[in-house]
Amino acid sequence: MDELQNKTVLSIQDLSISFGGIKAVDHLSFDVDEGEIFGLIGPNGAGKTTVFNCITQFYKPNHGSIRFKSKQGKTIELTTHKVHEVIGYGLVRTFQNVELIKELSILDNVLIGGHIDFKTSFIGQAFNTKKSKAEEALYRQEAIEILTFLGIADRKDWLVYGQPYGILKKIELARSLMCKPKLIILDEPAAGLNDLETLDFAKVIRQIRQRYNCSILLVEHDMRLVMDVCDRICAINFGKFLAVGTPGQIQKSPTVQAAYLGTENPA
Amino acid sequence: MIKKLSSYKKGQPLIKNAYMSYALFGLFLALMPLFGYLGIIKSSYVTIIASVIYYSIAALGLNVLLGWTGLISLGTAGFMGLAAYISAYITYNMHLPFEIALVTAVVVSTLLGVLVGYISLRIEGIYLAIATLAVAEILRKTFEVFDPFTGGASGKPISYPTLFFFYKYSRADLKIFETLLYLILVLFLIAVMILVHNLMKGQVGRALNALRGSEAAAQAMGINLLKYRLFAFGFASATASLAGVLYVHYNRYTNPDRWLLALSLNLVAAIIIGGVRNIYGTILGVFIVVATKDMVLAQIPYFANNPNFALMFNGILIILIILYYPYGLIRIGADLKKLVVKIKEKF
Repeated sequence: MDELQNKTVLSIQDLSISFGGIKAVDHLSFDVDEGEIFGLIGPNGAGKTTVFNCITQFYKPNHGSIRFKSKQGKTIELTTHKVHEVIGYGLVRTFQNVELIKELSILDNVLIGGHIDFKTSFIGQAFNTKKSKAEEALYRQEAIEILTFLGIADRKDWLVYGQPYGILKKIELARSLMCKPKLIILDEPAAGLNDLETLDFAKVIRQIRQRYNCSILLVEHDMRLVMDVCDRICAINFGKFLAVGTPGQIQKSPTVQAAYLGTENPA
Repeated sequence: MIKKLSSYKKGQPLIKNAYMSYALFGLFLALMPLFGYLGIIKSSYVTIIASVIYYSIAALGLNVLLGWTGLISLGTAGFMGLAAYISAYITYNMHLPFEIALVTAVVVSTLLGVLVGYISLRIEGIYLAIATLAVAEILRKTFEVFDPFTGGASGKPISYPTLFFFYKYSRADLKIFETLLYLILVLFLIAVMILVHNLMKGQVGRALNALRGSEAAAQAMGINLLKYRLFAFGFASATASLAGVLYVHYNRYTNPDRWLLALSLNLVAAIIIGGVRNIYGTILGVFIVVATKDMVLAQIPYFANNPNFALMFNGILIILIILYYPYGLIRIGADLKKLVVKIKEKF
């Protein structure tokens, strides 16, 4: 396996996956650079979420390689790893339909994101050793700091159940920040948010990049948000690569326009 | 007025430290034989409370599996029985001390439980319930037919074991042994309560909650499904087998009919009635399911004459609680307090 070039953090090459006869992703390749906000766009059913699921190993691709420069500084072929191992390398995701634990408090939900950082064994926790207590206190503090950064620390002890959608999205984001990620994958972060919340979210995404010095890969339908925050965008349709470039280039690309708007003279 | 309500919401519990409350609860239970001796309660009640204690130990482990992890098991009775028979055989037939029997029985049944946990990766929901039920029924059938080890359908009477490696039972010590075993029951219950408390408030508890709430999120956050499912099943079978061991030595008797599906179902019912994911709730639930029949309903002539109608009482309670009070009866205290505050503010 080739080491990744010094600026690339995630490199997808020739990725393909099919479900039965449907090719959800078809020989797709793109790179994400360090510190970049990268958007993945495409019409409904283009395979964007499938790409995400392949990267995070929820799906095992049929073909292709997904290399990632881990926070330990090594290049890793993600396809050879199990789904729960991915986060250990600094790759974390959120979900399109928020996946939180309703019966737990907001703080506890965020602490789930720190799961892999806990080093105390079952036995140590069973006896509530000093080490276990110290660790819990440390990550609790960290979680509160993240919640403060996102502006929702005042409700940290409330249950997730019954929180408004905008808050739920922020809790999920806070949870993903607990592992000090190198790359965050956001699956439709603005879906279900109103205009004001979307604007706020765009600001938050930029702040996260600055504060955590990480890259962000996002799928989004809200074109204003995508064009506003992304450094580069990759457009796909029916699992196939269409174009990659800056928001300006993508807007002008004839293939992208054709995919979204259709063509005057269908071939 | 608003200030009053908000200051109440912070909810200063009577005893702040959880460990202190467990210790006091243990002390309270430990005094039961004395109360019985002094005639404050009927001395037969001590035996009933002892049964509440060992079933509570099993139910606490089951609550970790059912409440926290969201996996069902109808095999609790089977694991309890297996451990009971193993422990009875080791102490009574092999004349080894209680402690050795306890460890062996718990280890063997826990390993079997972990094996069942492995199956749980492949099957879920009602199918998992059926699989665990099958394991329990196979075990029960084995107790019936494996005569030399279990005494078959007529059961296996044993005497009190050697305690602390040296203290042998003699007829003169009957009362002492009875009380000593009762105190051991209390000690184990408090230990299991503290264990569940410690594990469930931290990283392990959150991981199990995540398994129940969202498997996808759990995996994305690095929680190993296999590891934590095995842990949950292992923990539930460990407490069930501990309860089985304590059962057989406290009662000095076991037969296959003690380990029926009805017992497993009763423990599930106890958790639902008392309070899912709640330690005191579990014990309250077991008390309601196990003890009310003998301590309360038996006082009412109608139920005394028709003991099977007491089962109806449990059934109705489960339906009512699932429909109207999903967090269990343990919430009743807090809700009543809220009601009192509300009423006070109106006047």
